[in-house]
Amino acid sequence: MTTEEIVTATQALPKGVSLWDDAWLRLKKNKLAMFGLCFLILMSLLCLLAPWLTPYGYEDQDLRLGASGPSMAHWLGTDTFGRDLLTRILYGGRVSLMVGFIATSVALIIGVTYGAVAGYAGGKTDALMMRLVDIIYALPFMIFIILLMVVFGRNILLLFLAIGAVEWLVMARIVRGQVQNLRQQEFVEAAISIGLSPWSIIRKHLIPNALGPIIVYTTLTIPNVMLLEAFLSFLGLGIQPPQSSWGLLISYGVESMEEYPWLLIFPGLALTLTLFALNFLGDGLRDALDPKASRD
Amino acid sequence: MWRFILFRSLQAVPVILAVITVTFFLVRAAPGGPFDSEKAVSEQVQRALEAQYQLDLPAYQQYFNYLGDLAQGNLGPSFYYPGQSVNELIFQGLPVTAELGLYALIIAVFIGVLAGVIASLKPNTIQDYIPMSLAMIGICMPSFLLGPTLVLIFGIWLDWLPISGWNSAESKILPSITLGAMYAAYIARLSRAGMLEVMSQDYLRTARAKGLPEHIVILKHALRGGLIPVAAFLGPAFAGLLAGSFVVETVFQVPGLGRFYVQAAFNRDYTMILGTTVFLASLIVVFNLLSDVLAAWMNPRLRFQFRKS
Repeated sequence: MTTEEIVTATQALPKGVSLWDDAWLRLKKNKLAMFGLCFLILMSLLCLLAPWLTPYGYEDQDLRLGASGPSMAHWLGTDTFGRDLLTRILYGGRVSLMVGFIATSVALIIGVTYGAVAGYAGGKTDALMMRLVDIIYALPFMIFIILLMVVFGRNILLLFLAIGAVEWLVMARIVRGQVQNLRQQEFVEAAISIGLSPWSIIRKHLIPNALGPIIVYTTLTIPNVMLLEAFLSFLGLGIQPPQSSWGLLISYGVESMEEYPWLLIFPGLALTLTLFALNFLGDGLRDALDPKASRD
Repeated sequence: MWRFILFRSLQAVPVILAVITVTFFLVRAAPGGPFDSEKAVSEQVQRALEAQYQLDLPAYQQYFNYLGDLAQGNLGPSFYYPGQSVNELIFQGLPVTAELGLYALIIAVFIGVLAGVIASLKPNTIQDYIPMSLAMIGICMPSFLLGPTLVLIFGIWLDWLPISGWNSAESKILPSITLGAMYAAYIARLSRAGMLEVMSQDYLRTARAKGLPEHIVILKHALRGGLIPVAAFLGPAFAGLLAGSFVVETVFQVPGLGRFYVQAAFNRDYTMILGTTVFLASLIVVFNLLSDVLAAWMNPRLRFQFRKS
């Protein structure tokens, strides 16, 4: 056989299907999850490109117009200052989505590192670290976040940290469980035997293998985080004007819902539909990446 | 069983202590004292005030004094409402919040279990999809959006129910539904998953093989096993109900504990914040304990695990 023949023979072989391809195929079959994914991509693009999409600025007032219902000029109507609601929803979406992603990243980094270290160390270190997680888990966090925001002022950086600090606990538990199982396997022993440091074993071998559950749980954390942000903004403890977020828009909408119901309905729809999409995508990813996991 | 209860009770102690400690020092670390008002107060008055509330002592001494008072059930005086103690304020709001929480929990468990069990009887049919889609709406629609939406529909447009307050029976309907809806949704998902898991187990096949009618199989055998996740969820749900009642009480102007807490937060009434946090946190820890005990009672395996060790 010449080299050329071998090359053609190899090319003729069917392409291998990796676990990721497999999961992607399963996800593609799930209509609700794909709808969620498309909706999220569309929503993120619209919010990101908002300055180029709408002819209005989000603080442009038109006091002569005042609050007006949906029309050709203002698709979703205007608020009491004559500001275009669609523009404000898109700009608010930037903040809400950003809080969702950044705070989830904070939770992701803390949770994965903590869980991987505990699972890899094992023994007493592990027991101590996980007992600490149990204790923190039992603290009533909603109350603590409100306390934090009141005591240290309403600062967006603190908001990220506070929300991230709440959401890392479950992630730590999941990763620790995964790492504990993987640690027993031969490839980790092999990695130890060639002298890799524990840190690079965790980074290069353990975390990539635990990626499935991590991705699934991350997708399910984002809606929680966005809800938390909206809740705090609604109470007046989260995002502060002139910045805007969906929670803040909803709280303005509530004030004037009797006369101008669209001010409540449209921001509410934006938040609810986005959370819907995230939850559908999360459920779909769980089924695709982790078919054995129970649905709860 | 008693071993289990004792063990879990001992675990609750460090949690409550941690709550007290963290909250105490967090509140002390806050910039600006409770008496920093717009009106300039002479230094003498300021010092007299601080002495009266023992703020001139070193922090650790204040901490141990507070723990001592707490052991006797005394949460100290309110900084904002002179002459009233935190205890009095808490017990003014508590009955209202407890009533609201109870109604919400009843709604959540009743609707949630019903929907979840109905869905689990015929999985992946219309009978499954409709209740579960409704549950998804319940999860994605936060109470601060659901509440105003219900007010808009039933209070303003249809004019069937009062839009705020807490005095007549009708005025209690919307707040309770708003607070309970999200937990009904979670409970529906949990009980559906739990029931599906149990349905494929051998002991149910045995029950059917004995010739028991289907409704007895479900009501007597499947429910007890299938609802264990729901029982374990009741503790966290209660914690969530308390936190959620902040919003519902604000939206519907219900004079309960949650509204006091949010007001105390805005008034910088530090003893009130501290007292309410400690009180609520302890309540939550106790309820988590109760729900774990309930779950253990429903699941013999969990009980025996503890008997052996």
